[in-house]
Amino acid sequence: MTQETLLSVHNLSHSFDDHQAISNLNFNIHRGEVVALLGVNGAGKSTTLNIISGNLFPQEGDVSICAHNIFSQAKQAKCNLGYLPDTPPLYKELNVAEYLQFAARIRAVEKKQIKKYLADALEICGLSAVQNKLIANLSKGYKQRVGIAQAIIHKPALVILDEPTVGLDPVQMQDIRSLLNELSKNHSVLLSTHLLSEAESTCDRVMIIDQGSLMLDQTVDKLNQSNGNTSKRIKLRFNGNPSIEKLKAIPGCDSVSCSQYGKYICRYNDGEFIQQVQKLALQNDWQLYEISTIGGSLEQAFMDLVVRDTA
Amino acid sequence: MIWAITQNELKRIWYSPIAWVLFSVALLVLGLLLLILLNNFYAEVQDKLVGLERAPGLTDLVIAPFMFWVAVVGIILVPLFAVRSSTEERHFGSHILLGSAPISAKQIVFGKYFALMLIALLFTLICCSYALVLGHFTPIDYGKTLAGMLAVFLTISSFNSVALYIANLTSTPIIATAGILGALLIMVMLYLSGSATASSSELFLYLTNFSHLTNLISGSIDTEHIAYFLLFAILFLFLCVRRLQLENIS
Repeated sequence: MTQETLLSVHNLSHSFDDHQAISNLNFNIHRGEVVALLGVNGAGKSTTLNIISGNLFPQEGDVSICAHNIFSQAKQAKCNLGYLPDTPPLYKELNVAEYLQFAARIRAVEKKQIKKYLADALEICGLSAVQNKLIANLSKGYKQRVGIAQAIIHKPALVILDEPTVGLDPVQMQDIRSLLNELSKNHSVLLSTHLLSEAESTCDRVMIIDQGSLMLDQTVDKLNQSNGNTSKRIKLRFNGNPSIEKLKAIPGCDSVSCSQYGKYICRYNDGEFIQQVQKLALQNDWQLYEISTIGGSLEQAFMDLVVRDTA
Repeated sequence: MIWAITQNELKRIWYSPIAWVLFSVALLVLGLLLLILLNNFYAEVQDKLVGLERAPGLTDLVIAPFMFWVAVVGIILVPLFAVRSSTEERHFGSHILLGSAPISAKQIVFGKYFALMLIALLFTLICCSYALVLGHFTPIDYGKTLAGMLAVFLTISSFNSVALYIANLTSTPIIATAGILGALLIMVMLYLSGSATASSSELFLYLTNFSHLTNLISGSIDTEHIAYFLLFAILFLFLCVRRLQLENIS
């Protein structure tokens, strides 16, 4: 049985002056899927989401939502879309209920239905208790909830959330993650984040974008299976300048790569490898100050794809 | 949809303390100005008019200049709400709410413009009610007074379209405010250049809204002036819609 495609992104490219923000992106999102768009800052996530939400016109490519082109059939496409940008688009002088009623009206919700839709959004997002409070007086976590509520008030098929947990404290983050799980019951969700644990715990599929190109598009289950047999990885940081050649020469080392932030990622297959690194660092005065194993399969994949290989 | 945006804009302005402060200050200043004009009329001018044939009355010497000043204050004050409506929205990122909703650039622009028009209407009615109150105590020419009110409303409303366009060009409120005041200054310069005896220019006078304002205030309701205000507003609303379409908030 073929799945219904809600979002189709085809050959999408966009650049700002000389900087190629995204390049030839292609992917689909099907009904019921929760997909994470992962990438470091500046990878092109927000540009992609701005184009998908119809706020930025791409230089090349097409975006369709529920088979309607986001630019040539904007009204039909946007009726099926809810979007939370990285900064929630709030009117702080309004109270929560007034703001959400306005959001419902501009999303073409019928007048008779607005009360019901409002009550549903308030309940799902846990905002019933604060519905008469001014948005300006809410905490950051609640403002984020209001932002999510405006994105789902018209019950769209597809919800796009751009870094919904950024800047929140751990408790608020957990609340928003629970809310995301709740949303996934009735909506397809495209979630942009750079928190790998968030993607792993809430999403069915992950896409990794780097320097504007899609590097990986795989389900979390497949990712877990495919990483069962691979070699182990560790992350190292030094105050001194280590020699990559010397690290590579350690018995059991498969590869060494270095990120732009001075992190070294080593793949190895020998149990003695970590002790050998420590010994070598001491001998050469590399001032090793961090050594940590790279945990989940997603983190390993992310590091492999995003960290530049210098070896 | 347009009405929903208009209502939302009005609500936001209603809840804003800045709007109340600006309105209060404007009403106070205009009230004092009317008192000065009245005092000047009764203390100095009235006696000199006795015996003159077809002498100008209170309407020409108090209400007409008062209307002119209402328009001047209104044209400075009301367009500032465009900064609040559009530039601040861009500054705080809330314009994305409209950009990702199934509404067109035209609906956004007209929704915001109608809100500004209603504020201009409210401002005109409140300020001009001062002049109408005079009618209870002394005979005034209601025809000229109503023509003056129309002139004030059209002047402020048409300039609102310039303000809305400028407010949509930037996300920095101070730049938008400077731009709007700069546009107003150009209008004043055109009026001064056009009406200077040494270098009077019909074109300059036609281009500036102040010459059409003074003509309407003097009581000559000419379709030429009304057409000017309409065309002026339509031109800048069209530019504003194009601006949003180019940004793809459509």
